[in-house]
Amino acid sequence: MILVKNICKKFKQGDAIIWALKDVSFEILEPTTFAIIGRSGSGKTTLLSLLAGLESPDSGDILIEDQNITTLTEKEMGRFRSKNIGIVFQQFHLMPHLSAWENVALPLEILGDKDAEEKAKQYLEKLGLQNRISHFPDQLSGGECQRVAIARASIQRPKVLLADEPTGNLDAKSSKMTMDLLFSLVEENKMSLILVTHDLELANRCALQKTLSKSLSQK
Amino acid sequence: MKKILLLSLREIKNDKRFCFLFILNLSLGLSGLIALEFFKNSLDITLKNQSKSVFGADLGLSARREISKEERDMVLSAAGIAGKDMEEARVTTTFSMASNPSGDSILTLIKAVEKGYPFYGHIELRHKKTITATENELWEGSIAWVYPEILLRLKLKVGDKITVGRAQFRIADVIEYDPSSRVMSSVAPRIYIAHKNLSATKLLESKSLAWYSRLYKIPGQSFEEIKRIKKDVFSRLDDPQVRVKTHEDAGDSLARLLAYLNDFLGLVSIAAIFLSGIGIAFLFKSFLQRKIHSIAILVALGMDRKKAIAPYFLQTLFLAAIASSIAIVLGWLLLPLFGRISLGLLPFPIDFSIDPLSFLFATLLGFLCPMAICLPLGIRLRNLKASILLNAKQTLGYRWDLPTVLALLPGLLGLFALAVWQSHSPLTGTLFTSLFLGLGIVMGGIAWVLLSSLEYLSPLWFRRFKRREPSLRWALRDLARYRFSSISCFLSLSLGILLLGLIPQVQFALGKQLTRSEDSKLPGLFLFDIQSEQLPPLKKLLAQNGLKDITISPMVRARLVSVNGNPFDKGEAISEDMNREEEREMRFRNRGINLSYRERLGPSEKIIKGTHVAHGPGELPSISLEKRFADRLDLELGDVLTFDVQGIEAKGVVRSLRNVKWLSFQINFFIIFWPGVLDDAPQTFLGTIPDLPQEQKALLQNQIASQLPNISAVDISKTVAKISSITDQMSLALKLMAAMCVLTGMAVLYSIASHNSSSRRRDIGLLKALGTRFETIKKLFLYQFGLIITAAALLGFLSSLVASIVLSHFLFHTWSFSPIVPALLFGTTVTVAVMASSLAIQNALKVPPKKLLDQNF
Repeated sequence: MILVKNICKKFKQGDAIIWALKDVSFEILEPTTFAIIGRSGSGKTTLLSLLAGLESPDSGDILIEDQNITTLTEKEMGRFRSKNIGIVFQQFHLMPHLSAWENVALPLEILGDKDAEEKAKQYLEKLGLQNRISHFPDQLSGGECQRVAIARASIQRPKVLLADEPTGNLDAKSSKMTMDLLFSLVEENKMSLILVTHDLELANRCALQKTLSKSLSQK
Repeated sequence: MKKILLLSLREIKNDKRFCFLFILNLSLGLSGLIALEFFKNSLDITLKNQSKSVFGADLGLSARREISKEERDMVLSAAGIAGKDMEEARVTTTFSMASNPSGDSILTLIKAVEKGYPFYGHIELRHKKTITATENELWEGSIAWVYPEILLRLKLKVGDKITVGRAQFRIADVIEYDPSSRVMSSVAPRIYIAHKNLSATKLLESKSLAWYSRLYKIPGQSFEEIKRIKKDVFSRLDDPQVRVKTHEDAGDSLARLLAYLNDFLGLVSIAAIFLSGIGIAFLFKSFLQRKIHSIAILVALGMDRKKAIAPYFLQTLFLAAIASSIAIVLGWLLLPLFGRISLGLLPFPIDFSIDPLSFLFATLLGFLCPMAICLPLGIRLRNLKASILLNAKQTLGYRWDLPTVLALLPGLLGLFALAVWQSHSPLTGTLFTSLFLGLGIVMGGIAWVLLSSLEYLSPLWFRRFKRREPSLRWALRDLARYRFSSISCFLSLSLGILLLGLIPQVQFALGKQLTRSEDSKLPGLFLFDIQSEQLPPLKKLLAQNGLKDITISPMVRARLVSVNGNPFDKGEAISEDMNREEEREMRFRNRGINLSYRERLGPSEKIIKGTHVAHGPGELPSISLEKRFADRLDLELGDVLTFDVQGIEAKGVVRSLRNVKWLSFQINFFIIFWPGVLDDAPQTFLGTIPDLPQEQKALLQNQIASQLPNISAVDISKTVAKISSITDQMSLALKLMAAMCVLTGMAVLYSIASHNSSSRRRDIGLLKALGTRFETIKKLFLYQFGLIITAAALLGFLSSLVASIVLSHFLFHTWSFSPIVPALLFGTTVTVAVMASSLAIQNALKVPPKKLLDQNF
């Protein structure tokens, strides 16, 4: 369950105060797919970073699995995130010095899983990346990089998967392949997917869609 | 141009941290050498200004025998027309015991001078004040001028009588300032007497040790002309024992006192520049890596590549200008501390001033150093293509092509030139540079092998150490994967630590060498100028004092005439263009040699090649040579040497080479014959007497002075005290320079550690976003840097030991190891580096992970 209640976020730019988000509220009671769409500067990325606990709102509450994450310290948030939240970045953000399986194994290692290596390799095989297991990010295509990033975000079966413009850096074919994978994983693992996108076609694949213009309006 | 200027100023404003560290590294590294350069320059100027009054003449001939009429005529003839107005003064110097009417005596240096001395400069007397050539009244009557310590130690006052040899003199005045005085004046204070009174002292028995000089004033001649006359006379002189000098040579001989110290200080200061070079190279490399993206964008937008790079080049120049200005100010502030080196070594104070040339040098060095260091890195930008913007991995990569290799040359040649220039020795400079580069290559190789094997073995240890805490595993993996970065960080640290460790090690070895005499048994008195007929009465006198364990060695003056039948030429006059090796060789070639003969070698000597044995029938007598002496004159085992011993030929063959510990203060010689050949040659004897209580020593000195007046008895403890006070001053200078070097090293360590941590900000952000515990991230980086730092410190110190062994053996012919020095430095450098890394990691940990959502992070 995800409950977002009246969250506000503002930034200071010189003397001016810019509202990134104003009174945003929504709730997701069952595992589902949820697309947040909106123009550039509408606060989509800010909302995602608040949901991931990467920063705190100025006011309002965010409850994930009954835990109000706005009350957690940075360290507690880290621990919570490692178990419950997976993030897929537009820039992939794979560790350049780690191979595909090493990148995927990271979340499990953080959780202290002794079989991280085997599980990561099996997971990549399952995702059809068996020929890319030992390759490094600079040896992979954009689509492959994003599939590895999705594998990394989902391997510990988090309750929530957050994706920031996951197809933003991909061509149409790679984009479709990657999103097919993402949606099948979400369905299979009964996760909630919240994705931020400009891509209306991708947004249409989600069960829920919301347009963000500082505050949310449901479609 | 204005745009480029503005861009570079904006870069400085936007990257304050890089700019601060760049300036800190460079200014600290340069300031030591600049201070030393200012000091040497001030010393040179002072010596040039004072050299005429030090020497007291334009030209001089000197030898350990009387200058012959023919030799004096050579000066007259070389001077040509100028010879008509030339003035000549005789100056004879010898050591002798001087005593008061109660029989107390001390060793003094007797300086017998003729009317006219000094032609230039002045001597200051307590009562008569300034004495110049025209006012010199010393030759009127049996009077003497003495140094104040003679009055003090013999409890005399002006007007009292003092006995020198067989003659008595009335003390007419006290010398307050003598420009020609040297370091050893306090060991043997001077007595000035008129030359005509010297014979009355009967000090100059036929074989007595004395220096005979003829000084000349050649009016109206330029210094160039005087130098020409010197060269002319030098070429005409047959006897290499006779030296011809100008006032400049006298200044040089004073400068020589400080030259060897300056050489070493110079090398230490280069070490500081090397260190700052390492820091700058590391900083510049990281800086370029960060700027590649911006440069590629400008190129993609159509800007000429050179123009796109220009702001960064200009920025480096700006920073270099600021750093050299700071280094000049720091150097100027350090100058008075350097001045302390000269205290007691020179008879006059150094006039500290900064001349425009020194200033120019400092500024040039400030600009050229970073340019030479940054060139090999900057040249990689020529490979920059805008297409890298389309790649995930935006790095330039390493390509060892010809331009890259050529770009390394200015730095390497500059490094070599600096080392040779500062040490005044191609050998020392080459040794220093090759040691540095050689050890760098070896350490780099070791690091490469270690990191490659770490990667190769990674599956093994990754499975084996499946502990809950992944930080160590990750640290080892990151080390192997960021191999270039790990090696460059390791190399920078280990080379820095090599230099940091080397200086105190060499300093320790040098100090140990200078104080070794304290450990071994020093003799109490050193006797010289003993005539053969004085041996029985001397031995009798010593026996009466209960002294039996005395060492007496014969000394024969000779000249090396030929080696293997080839004439041994006297070489050239020593000039300022010569390096230290050439200067030493010429010094050996140009002077007469003391020979001795004995069967058994002393405890301070050790045969290292061949044997010191009796020669068989029909064979040439055996000669043993001191190793360094043999090296400098290119003499080897089996060489046949022919000597001229006062007109008689003496031949021998080199059958052994020896090491000699000169600071044992035992009687030692460069050349020792097997007994039999020189026994009947004209000779004097030297002797040492074991250490005695002070009172007994003084009594014995007095007895020798009264019964055998021409024998000089030097109290070794006073000489050692003087040497150790000089050593203390030198040590202070070394410590000062070493401290500068260590400070630079620490700044470099901080820069490297801090830049390395901040360059991993993206990784830290990602690990945080994935929910990694803070402690795990902190440990990961601490393990990583800790391993690099520890390995670099260990290898760096091992290399510094190797380098100190090589350098110490080469420079001081000995090596001493102090475990405390490396242990302390090891601890300090590791602590500083770990602290710097922790500080840097702490800063990097503050990076909010939401930055990962920014497009440009």
